[in-house]
Amino acid sequence: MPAGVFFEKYEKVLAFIKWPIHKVALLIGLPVAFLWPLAFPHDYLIRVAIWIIVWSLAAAGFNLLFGLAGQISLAQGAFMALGAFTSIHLATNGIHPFIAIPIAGVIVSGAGLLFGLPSLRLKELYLLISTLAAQFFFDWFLRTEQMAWFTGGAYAKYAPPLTLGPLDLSYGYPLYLTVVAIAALHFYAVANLGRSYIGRALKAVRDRDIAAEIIGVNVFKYKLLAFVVSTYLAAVAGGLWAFALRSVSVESFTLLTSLEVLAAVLIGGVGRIIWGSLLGALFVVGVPEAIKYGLATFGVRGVDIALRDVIFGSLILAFLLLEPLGLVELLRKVKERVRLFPFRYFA
Amino acid sequence: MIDLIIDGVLRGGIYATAAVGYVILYRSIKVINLAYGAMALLAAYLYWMISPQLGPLLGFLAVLPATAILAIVADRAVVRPMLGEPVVQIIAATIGLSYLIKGALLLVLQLIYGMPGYQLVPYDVPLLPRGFIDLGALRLDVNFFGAFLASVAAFGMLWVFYKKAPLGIAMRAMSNDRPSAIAFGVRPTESIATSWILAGLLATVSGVFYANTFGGPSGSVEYIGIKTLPVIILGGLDSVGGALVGGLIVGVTEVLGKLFLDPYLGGGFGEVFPLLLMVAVLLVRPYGLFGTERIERV
Repeated sequence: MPAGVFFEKYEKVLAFIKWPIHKVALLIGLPVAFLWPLAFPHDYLIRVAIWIIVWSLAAAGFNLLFGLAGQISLAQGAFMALGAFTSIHLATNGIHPFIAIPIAGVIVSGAGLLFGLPSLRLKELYLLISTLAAQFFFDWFLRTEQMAWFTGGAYAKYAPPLTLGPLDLSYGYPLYLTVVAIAALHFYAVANLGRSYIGRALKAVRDRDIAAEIIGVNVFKYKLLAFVVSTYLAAVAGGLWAFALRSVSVESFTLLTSLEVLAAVLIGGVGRIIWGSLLGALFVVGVPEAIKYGLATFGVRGVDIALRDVIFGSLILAFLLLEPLGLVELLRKVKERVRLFPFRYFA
Repeated sequence: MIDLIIDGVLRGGIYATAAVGYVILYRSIKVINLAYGAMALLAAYLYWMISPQLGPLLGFLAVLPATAILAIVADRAVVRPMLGEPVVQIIAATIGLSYLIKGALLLVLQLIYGMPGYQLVPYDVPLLPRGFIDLGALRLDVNFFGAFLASVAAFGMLWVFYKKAPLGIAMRAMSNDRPSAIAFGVRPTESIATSWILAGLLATVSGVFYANTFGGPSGSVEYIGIKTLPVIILGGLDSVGGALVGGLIVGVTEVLGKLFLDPYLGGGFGEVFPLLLMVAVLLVRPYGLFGTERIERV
């Protein structure tokens, strides 16, 4: 980790926007995030961008759980599915989508709470396995005939269009704006959660839960809180994805989704909730799409899934072996290099 | 009814074999290898590719070194550089490895064999023929019975290896108390590499036999890696004997769940039932039924 930048005032340590680069990123990045589709009004690009943002929201939930609280969950995909189907159901029953999505999030958090309960006694490996069991359980549960009314069975379930009064937000740029706005809101909330007393308690639990308990952190409560928040974010992501695609089926969210979310966090940066999740989702969604697009322009078809798997695996391995803190750390090194140019920390 | 229980027990034999692959590795590096299912899948397809030329027995023997070498590569290239890092990171690395193996396999299948995905392709030269043998009043599925015999043989060999062979004793010492074992001259690299090789071999055994029970390899062979998780949890992650017991429990509960609970809860519940049972056991006994309890210090 680079040394050399220190805060002299306590307020600066507490500040939400600490570094000059964050100010630059917000000043340039936020307008760019909202306005770029005007310059490139391409339906496909916009759809991929929505995909990335939705996945980064789910990744942020997992990052909070894994990076801050140190608990692992491989059931993120199942919770996304539950969120998607629940919000579609609420919306078809007359609740406005913008209210239905958070309500679905709260309902699904209940399931997250239930599957977070084993975390009281289980750690690392055992927790990973029991959340994997949760993923498989929900996968089976949503596919059974009894749940066909809920998931549409073998067919897709259609979502009502996203509207706000007279505005139709269900396509292209308006849809993108809506998704970005909702995601930004959630990112802001999660970032604040991470730097508040709750975030510090979660970090204490992650670093050594027994020690945390001794200094007075209610370990069980904070573990459950992390599970609930991460499930909520996954469910909201699932709900957004349902309204963006307008149709979801059981096949939309599988174990593969959970693993994609895990990969996004590992590649992006563990414990860096916003930038890590965003960059990771950009990679995890963008790279396979780019491969697919590139292969299609060269006229090669059919091998994109295989190539995606190979590149995915290599990327995960490369990041874990070479840069365990992910893309964010890589960028930070680049930044430090530029800041100190022409000198550097190491020869 | 008795037929079904026998079926469950024999099925459990395959799960137990696969579980031992996890257990051996866990004993030496305290990590479970989530690329195990992908390795079994690879072995099943490799057997399909080479058995027409070599015949069943030679073909099977030829697949064994392939996964063993793969396991050594996984050890040297991926897991060993990461030893000492958080367990979850190493497990994530094995997930990455499983992506890599599956992607490479799919690439070969698509480019050379022109298959769209992990299709079910029947074995031309099956390891064991499909059908039943009658033993007194019992009807045994030849494949499950053969797999059960193979797993019993594997257990026997492992038992002898762990009890009699110097390397096996060294490995037991390593899993028991690493610093003192090293002080007594046990080479850690050697025992870790051996456990990887054994895990690779067991991946082949379980993968090929499991594929054989379907008549050929398909994408579902990979799920042996998942189906085995309840086995190792029930048996305890570091107990080889526990793996056998866990395998039998999972095999029987799967079959009984299919028989009694599927009609009420919908198809496929038998497959999920052992996983739920596992979560329930974990809540009561966090280290499994036969696993050693770890005492945590601050």
